[in-house]
This record gives sequence, C-alpha cells and structure tokens, in this order.
Amino acid sequence: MSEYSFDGSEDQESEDCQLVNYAPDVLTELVDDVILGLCFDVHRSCKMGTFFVDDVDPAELKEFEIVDQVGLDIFGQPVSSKKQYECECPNCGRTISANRFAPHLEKCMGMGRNSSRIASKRLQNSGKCESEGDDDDDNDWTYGEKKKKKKSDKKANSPRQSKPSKSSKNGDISSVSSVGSEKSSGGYVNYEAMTIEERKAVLKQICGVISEHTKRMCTRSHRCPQHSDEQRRQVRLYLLGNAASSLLDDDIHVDIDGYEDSPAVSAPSSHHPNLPKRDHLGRFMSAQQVAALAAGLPWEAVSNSPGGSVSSMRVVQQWETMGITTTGPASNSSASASASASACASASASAGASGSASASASAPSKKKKSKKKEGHTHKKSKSKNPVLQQYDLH
Amino acid sequence: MGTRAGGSSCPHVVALKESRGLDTFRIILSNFVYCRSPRARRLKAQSCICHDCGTTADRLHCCLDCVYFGCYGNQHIQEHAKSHRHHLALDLSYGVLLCGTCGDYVYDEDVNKVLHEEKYRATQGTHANGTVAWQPSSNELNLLQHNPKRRKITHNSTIGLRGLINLGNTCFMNCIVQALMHTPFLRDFFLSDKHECLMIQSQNHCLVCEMSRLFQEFYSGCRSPHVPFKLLHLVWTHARHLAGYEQQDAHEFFIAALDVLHRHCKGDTDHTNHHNPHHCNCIIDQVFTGGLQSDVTCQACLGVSTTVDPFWDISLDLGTHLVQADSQDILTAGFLTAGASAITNGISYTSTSLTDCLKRFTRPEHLGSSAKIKCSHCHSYQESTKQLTMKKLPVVACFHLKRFEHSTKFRRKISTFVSFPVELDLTPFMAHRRNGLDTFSISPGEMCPTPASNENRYSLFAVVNHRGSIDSGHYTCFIRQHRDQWFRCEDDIITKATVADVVNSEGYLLFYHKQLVEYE
Repeated sequence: MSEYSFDGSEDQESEDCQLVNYAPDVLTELVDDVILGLCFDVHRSCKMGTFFVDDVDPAELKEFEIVDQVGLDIFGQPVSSKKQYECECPNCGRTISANRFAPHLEKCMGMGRNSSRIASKRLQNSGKCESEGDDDDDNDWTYGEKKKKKKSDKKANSPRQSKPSKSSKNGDISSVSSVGSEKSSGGYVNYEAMTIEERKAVLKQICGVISEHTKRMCTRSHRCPQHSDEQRRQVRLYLLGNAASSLLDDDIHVDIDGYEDSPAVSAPSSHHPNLPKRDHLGRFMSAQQVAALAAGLPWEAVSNSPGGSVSSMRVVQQWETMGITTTGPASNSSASASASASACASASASAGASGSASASASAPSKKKKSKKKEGHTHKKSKSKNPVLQQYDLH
Repeated sequence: MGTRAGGSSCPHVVALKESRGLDTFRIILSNFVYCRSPRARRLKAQSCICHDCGTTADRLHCCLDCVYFGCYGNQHIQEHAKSHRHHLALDLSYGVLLCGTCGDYVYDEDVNKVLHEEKYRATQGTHANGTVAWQPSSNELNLLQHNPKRRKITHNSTIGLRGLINLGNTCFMNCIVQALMHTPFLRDFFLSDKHECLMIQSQNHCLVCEMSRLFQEFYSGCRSPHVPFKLLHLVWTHARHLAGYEQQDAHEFFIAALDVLHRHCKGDTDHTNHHNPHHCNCIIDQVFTGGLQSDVTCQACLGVSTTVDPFWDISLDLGTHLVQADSQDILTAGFLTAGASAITNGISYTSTSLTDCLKRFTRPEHLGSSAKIKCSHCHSYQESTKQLTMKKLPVVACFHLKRFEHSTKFRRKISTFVSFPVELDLTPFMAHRRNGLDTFSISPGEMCPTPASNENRYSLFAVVNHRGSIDSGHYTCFIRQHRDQWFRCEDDIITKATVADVVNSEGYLLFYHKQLVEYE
C-alpha cells in the first residue's frame, strides 16, 4: 500500500500517509462493533430466557455418533446383516418383501412381459365401464412397436440403450416367468364383492379359475392351458350358483382367435335360450345333455356320442367361416328335439329381448362384429339347418 | 438476571412506554442507528460524538430524555443517567436500551419489535436484509423448557444419513436420491417446509411432497434403512419410459426425476408453459438450471449468432486418445457381455481430467463444409464455427462423464481414469471469458490473468460411480456431509470414506455445489 503509481504532490502523499495511519483504528472499530453485536445477542438470549434452547442432551449426542470401524456401518450395525424389510404395494395393497418389490410392482402395474395387462384392462372395461387415462401409456409396452417420443429423447449414452435378453440380468433372481396365480394379480378380481350380474360379465371374458394359493381368479382367456374346462365349470357353479347359465360363449364376447372353448353349462340360459350349449371339449351338446346338466348330473353321465360330435364340429366350422360361432344346436338326435324344445320353451318369451340386449351389452370395441353376427344369426339359422328351426324363435 | 420469557423489562421501560410511548425511541433509531438515507448517515457521522470527552468510539449512547451523547467506556453516560435522573439511554451501534439506574441492558418485546422494523427498513434492498434469526415465542419456549431432550446435528452426528433398500435393481435410483438428499440447497428448502403442494387434485401423487417426506425420513434419526417403495411407484407412474424392472442408467433417472419434480412444482392445473424455463421459478430450476450459450461464428463475415439454452447437466466426452488402439481388442470387447474387467483393461484412453473435458467441451468447433448454415449477417451460406460456453451457472452443476459408448460397431464402457477436483472454478468456461478463444492450448495461468472471483467456485459434494460393464453393473455413491466428511453409500450400507477414496474413484456423475449463493 506504500507505493502509488500516480504522481501526486507532497500534500497528497502526506494525506495518504495520514489515511494509512488511521487504517488500524478503523479496523479496530469494526472488530469492536462486531464483537459488541455478538455480546448483545448472547446477553439478550440470557435475559429473555432463550439461552438454554441451544443446549443438547449429551446422551443423545452419543447415541447418534458416527461409527467408523471395519465391518460396521456408520450406525454401528454389521455390514453383512441380512435383515428383511417389507413394504405395502401402493397398487394392490399386498405386503411384499422389499427386495422383490420392483418386479412385483412391474407386474402389478401391468408393465412386464408376462403381466396380464390386457386381461385386466378388459376386466376394468367390462366391470366399471370407465376408461382410464393411462390407456395409451400401455401402448408404450407393446414391445418393439410404437416408441413414444420420450423413448427417442432418451440420451444415447446410457448402459441401457438396447435390451438384451432379460434372462442375462435376471439370472439369479427367480420366477420372472410367473405362475398363473401371479399373473392374475394384474388387476385382481374381487369376486366376493361382485353381484351375480357382474360375475357373469366377468366370467364371460376370462377363464376364472380360482387359484388355491392366492384365492384369485385366472384372468386368461377361456382357452387358458393351465386350467381345464371342468375347473372352469366348477368355478361358475360356485360363483353363480343356479344361475350359472350365462356362461355361453355368445355374441357379447368375440374371441379374436376365433373358435373358442366355452365352459360347460348347467342350465339353459335365461338370455339366450336358442343358443346351443357346448361341452367341456367344445362340442355342442344335445338338449338331453343340457337337461342332464341342469339336473346336476355329473358330466360323465352325459357324454356326447362320437358321431354327434363329429357332425356338430362340421356344422360349427361352417358357421365359423361365416363369422358365426353361436348358432344352432349340434345334436341330430331327434329324440332330443322335443326335450330341447320344452327346455327352451320357458325361456323363449324373452328370446327377442335378450337377443337385442346381448348386442348392446357387448364391449364397445366389439360392437361391429357382434351386430353382424346377430344379423347372420337370424338369416343363416333359418336356412342352413332345419333342426335349428326349433330353436330359432325370433 | 431474569429468565422470564418475554424479556425482563425494568420498571423504567414500562414507565416510558406508558407515558410517552416509543416514538422518541423510534426517531433516534431511524436517525442515528439504522439510517435510511445518505443524508442521515452523514448526520450520524457528524453528531455521534461524546459530549463530554469527544470520542466517537467506545460505545456511544444517546439519552432518551434529552439531547445527550455519552460514551460508556469513560462512564459518561452512566454519570449522566445518575445526575439527571434520565434512566434510559440507547446504544448507538445496535439500538439496545441501557437502563442506567438498573445498571444493565434491558429488553422488552415491544422495543424489540420496533428495533426489527427499523432495521428492516434501513437494510431493504441491500444484502444485509437477508434472514432474520428465529426467536421462540413464549409458547415455544414453554415447550422447549419442558422437553429438554434435544437433538443437535453436530459434526459427528449420523442424523441426515440413512441407507436405502434396494428394491430390485434400483441401485441407480438410490444413488441419485442420496445425491439429492445431500444437496445443501435442497435440504434447506425442504427442511424449512417451503414446499406448498400445488397438485390439488392428486396430492398423493406429488413427487415433490414425497421428496419432502424423504428428507423427514433422513433427518428423523432413524437408523434402519428406508424403503423407498412409494418413490419408485411415483416415478414409474410419472416417467413411464423408465418404468420396468430392469437396470437403468443413473443419469437418465436423474434427468427424468428432475423433470417430474419440475412439473409437479407447477401443480396439475396449469400445463401451458411448463417447458419454458425462463418463466419458472420452482426450486428445481433455481437449483439445477443453468444457461448454455451457443455461439455460431460465420467464417466469412465473422458475425456471431448467439442462443442460450437451459441445461440441467453437462455431458462430457472423455477424449479420443487411445492408448491401445488394437482393433482386435475392440471387436472382441464388443461381444463380451460379462467379465467387465477383461473389457475395461483392453481399452483405455489416456487418463484425463475434468477440466480437460470441460476445455474440450467449450472449444470452438469447425462445423465442416457439409454443415453450412445461412449467416444472418452476411446472408450467405458459409462454413462456421460453433462454441459452447456457460452463460448462467446453476447452483448445483452436474457433470455426466460419457462412459458408455454406443456406436455402430460396438457398445462398451470406457473406464478411463478421469481426475476431478474437490474445488472447481468455472470462470474459464464462462461465456465472457471464452468467446472466440481456442483456449485448449493455453495454459491455465495464462487464461485467467486476474484471480477468479468467488462467485464461480464450486465444491464437490456427491459422486456417483458405476462398477461393471455396459449391460449390467452396480451403482454406488460418495456423499459429503458436515462440510468435510465423506461417506460411501451402497444401497443400505453407509460407511465412512476419505477424500482420497472419492477422488480416486472412477466417477460417472459429479455433483458440484456453488460456494457462494446470493439471495434474490
């Protein structure tokens, strides 16, 4: 500070020197001022009774001290302790082990490969008739297809750029490909709380077999290989009681795969008296068989004759090619004709009403097809098979 | 010395309040203690002098009953009080009342209130008008008196640290959460309860509220690890592209999390300008958003067109100087998906430093003849150079080292050692310093002739590391707590670490916090 570059006069320089002399005084004053402020703060807190606020319990301090030893973490707990933690899934409410939470949530939210996302969507659409906002989010997970713009924005520099086979990462973690019961938890069906009508609606679409382990229904289609038709029949009997006649594969549900197994029934449907019933192998049953089932006889007592089944298959196949799967009975035993007529007579009155009702009750996306089928039903059943005449009471 | 809450007013103050009120007090304060104008300050300088000994220092006081200035050191004010029976005087440095008769400074709630008001008025618009110290109310004081067991976060305390359970390949999430939990700015914001949730319709889905809860969990003193299942569910709900049980990139998660937090700060009602960072003042933008300036210089007319884009992080290339450029090694490494060490040993670049990477990042680049753009100055298609510099520095700067290479020939992880400093100065990479200079070849000393200001100094506070190969690996992180202590976080295990551990680690995401933050 002693050297200055400007050419000042001697007065200027002496003035500067004087200023320099004052510098220590200025500093002292500043320091004194700050100290005084601090003193006032402490004095004030003492007088106001807030001085103790800063006090800490020494025992507490000790408790939270950081531990720095080999083999222990900072809390003093051993590093290799394998404590299991649990948490509650926000989606389904189940208690899941914390280490397995991520895979569970993936299936629970319907995002993994094996989760029954489509099935649970179907359930939601039929049961609640509301469409959820994140329907289109589901599209993200149709593999390989539409990639939304978020995907493309993803930076190119991450270790997860491509997705190699999942097995390489999930190698040591078990059960990625889960059992049927796990899958059905996608959108699990609370069948206990549902009314008969709701159960009928649901059971028309899904396999429905209740797993012993999880007490949940299987949400796969009626062709689910895991469960037999017998099981499906049992479930419907159990859930719907005597009204288990609604389980026909009728116009409401059009299986995209085409021909579909339909569960066995035990009584004529109150909705569709004219529609043929099928057995657990998909063969159309004679009215005799239908009646037998209604009486609660075991299935074995009412097995179809091979001849009958072959012809019924042919007929069905014919109808299928025309887009009809539910027309006409398969039996060609005349003896059963009268029996079937009587069986259906009681329900004939409501035939017309139920026919139209079935069309309107179909899921929105399948309206077209079912309407078409309705139309076909009327026409074709009249012309193709004379036996049908008895049933076609429209 | 009374300890009654609410102050221990001496009877003289009470009498003053009843008789004349505190107006005189206020006038003296505003003129001689907390001056509001330069004129007042000049007046103060001229008149604050002891009437008896002429000193200007030594704790001057002003009598409340007459116009008298006296110093304390030489007992002048005390003598004045005795002789004139003027009990109360006012300290001219801080405005505290001295009762000469009682012989001590006295405090009163109403007096304190006036003091606060005058101080606030005087310091408005200046830096001194920042935070106000917390004074407990009588209720709070009562509570505190009855509950003496208090927890203080000392230098050696575990409070603020907590492990996070791995929910199944979620180590990437755990590391980012640890880094965010130890961001001082965010911590202060959330612990002072500043978040007001605007997600009225779906408050249960607000990720910012969840973050607030996480801070509470971390500072609860609980020692068992926290299970962040709710956080995972929320993130998967709001950032669908990240959802799914598989390993993810920590950097991607970081950006996605910031994005969701940023959106949720705005609430669920207004969606119009949520991508306009210039208008956003949410905590995320305040902390993480910086401005990156891009200057494109036309080679013909040297006209420069400038744009500033916001950024949340800077992704840095590691350089292209291969040590072992054996193509055979490269090809075989590309097909190996296991045995991480075998790959990384086969390929390496010369070890580099963060500052080198930053220099490279801010170096002017010729765009090439295939990328001619129309210059707005000379209106012709010319070759140009482009330079990126930092225009606005964020409070927290995140540097992402590009260690995962995806090119057409191979995918691999680059494990080159990158040294990074604990204290970083970003001044050389700022816009005003760099324009046009190819500073890659200039030594650091030449670049900054004047010492860098403190404004651009950053301190490292979190490092996220990746161990493994490009397909599978494990994330761990180092975080800084209590100023100088470092801790290693590996999911639910937290252990103490040294600075050397941190600086010698590989480094994938580096988090730096600005040292000096200005309050606006």
